[in-house]
Amino acid sequence: MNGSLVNEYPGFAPMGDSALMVIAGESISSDINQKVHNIISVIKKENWPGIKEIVPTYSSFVIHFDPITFSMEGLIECVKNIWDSDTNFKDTNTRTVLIPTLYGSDCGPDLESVSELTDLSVEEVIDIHSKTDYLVYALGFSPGFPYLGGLDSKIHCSRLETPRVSVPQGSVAIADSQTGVYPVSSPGGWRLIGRTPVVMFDPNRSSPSLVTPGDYIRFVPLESKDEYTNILEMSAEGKYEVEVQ
Amino acid sequence: MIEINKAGTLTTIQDAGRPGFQELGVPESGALDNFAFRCANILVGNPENTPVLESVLFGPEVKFSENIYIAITGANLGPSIDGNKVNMWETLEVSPGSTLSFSGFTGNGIRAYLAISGGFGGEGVEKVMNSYSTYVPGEFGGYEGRALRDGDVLHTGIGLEGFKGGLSLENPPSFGEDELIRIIEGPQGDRFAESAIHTLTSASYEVTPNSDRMGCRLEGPVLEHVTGPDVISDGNAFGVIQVPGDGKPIILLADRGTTGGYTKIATVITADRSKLAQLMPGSSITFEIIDQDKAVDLLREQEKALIALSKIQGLQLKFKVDGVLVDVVDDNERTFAVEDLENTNYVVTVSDGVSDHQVRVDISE
Repeated sequence: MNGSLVNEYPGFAPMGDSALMVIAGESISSDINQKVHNIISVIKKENWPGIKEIVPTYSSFVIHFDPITFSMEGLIECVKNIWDSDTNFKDTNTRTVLIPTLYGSDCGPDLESVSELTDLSVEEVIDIHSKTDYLVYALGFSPGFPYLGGLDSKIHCSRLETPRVSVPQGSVAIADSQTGVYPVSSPGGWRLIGRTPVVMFDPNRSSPSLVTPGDYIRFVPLESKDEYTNILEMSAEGKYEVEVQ
Repeated sequence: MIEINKAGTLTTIQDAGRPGFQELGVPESGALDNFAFRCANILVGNPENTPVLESVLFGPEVKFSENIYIAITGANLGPSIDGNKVNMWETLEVSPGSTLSFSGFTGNGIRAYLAISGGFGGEGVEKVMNSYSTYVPGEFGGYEGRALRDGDVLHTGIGLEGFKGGLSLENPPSFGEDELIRIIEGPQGDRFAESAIHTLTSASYEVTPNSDRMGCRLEGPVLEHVTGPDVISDGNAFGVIQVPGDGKPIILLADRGTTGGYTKIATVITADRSKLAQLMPGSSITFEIIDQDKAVDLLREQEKALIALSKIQGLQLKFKVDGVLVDVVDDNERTFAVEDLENTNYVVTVSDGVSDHQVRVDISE
């Protein structure tokens, strides 16, 4: 333990006395991220003493623990021991959450500019964006904001030169190789191509976030503003349930 | 009823925070000075994780309408009841109609905690994601998801039955102008120039006024990166020292973002979190590297002080074997206490002097 990232996996980098960063790789890849989620599932099942919480990100995760109950060395040994025990985990645990999305018009004010920048028709952009299942690598930035990977390179585009002071809640956006949904209204520089009427994050719900790390998101285009408004009203009353596959 | 005549500065309801939701991007939050927070609750006979008020620099003016126990811990912001100075770090009894006020910052810490028997509750006080802690940027938790305002009214729950008061903490901590903060290197020490860790531990850094519950921003010699300040966004911990492109360290605290993309040179030990919570803008700090064993020893000492205090009023768990009361100690010879309970079932090893027997114990409310 020298406090440095190492080049073999799993790598261990203690973050103080009560947190351990476990490194599964050093790039943004769905395989590495899947490994992160799988190992976390295994650890949660193991029910080790003193574990407070485990926080996944792209290629690593942080275990917060009580070092009086469980030693740092002991924890590292335990993670090493279960590292290869996640075989065939993926198939049984994957959820795909379908997010209804109205593309374009006032819900997606940047859809036209994306179409111009990519030399694709508006319909093609929508088609490309909605046909991929995006892995939720992690949630962060603000409560419930999903970091999604897997955006088709045909619709990669730069961020806005001037970020918006306020991006409406539910906005579906793209920036470079990333796509995401703004769970609450916040400032932002991504290009807005649509908006979902479902409430992605509600602190008072029993499951505050619709998606959790390791899930997949699929954006399902809505046909009309009426459909959007209908779901919006149902969501406000807590009566709309997203489809999960 | 508890009337907040004057709210003071950034007075919020806090408890131990909401661990378990960082994976959803929700900050941990909770009382910044965890030791002072837990101590305050023990002093009024509350379970340790009971909501308290946290105030910064200027405490609130609070009028009580019941006869209850209160305790003030953390920074000394000059507390008095009905104009008479009162001690901190001990059980105080207030009578109906009495008013607690603070004269303000005295040079000994910046965050004070007020606990009352039964804890702060009432209409508008929300438990969100298992915690009463106020997360102001997200507008949830605590009192309507915000800092208290003049005229707010809170209520108290029911105090511990049989609690007789009269507790005080021996050797309470105090906070000064030149704090020594102990750190452990990493997680990304190798992303800095070799001189950086030497600079960090030999120079003095000034706490800037631009510090809050998210982080403590420092001014001082620049820490140089090797290949730039960015990493693929990864997890953060309380006390981690991140260094953005300008080379100026930021110590992340309870309301920090759950993930971040800047390199992290070192992390403050858990036992020094109170010092971080109490750093005064303009004061200077120095860093010293220690190892894991020493850090855990220091944490254990701190725990012992709280356990000793809670033992006086009987908050430890009681175990009976065949009706006979026994002490249960953990691997570190600590008496197992209420605050240790995160799960409801445990494997308990019972030694009869000859051999060990493992017994599964389920604990219910």
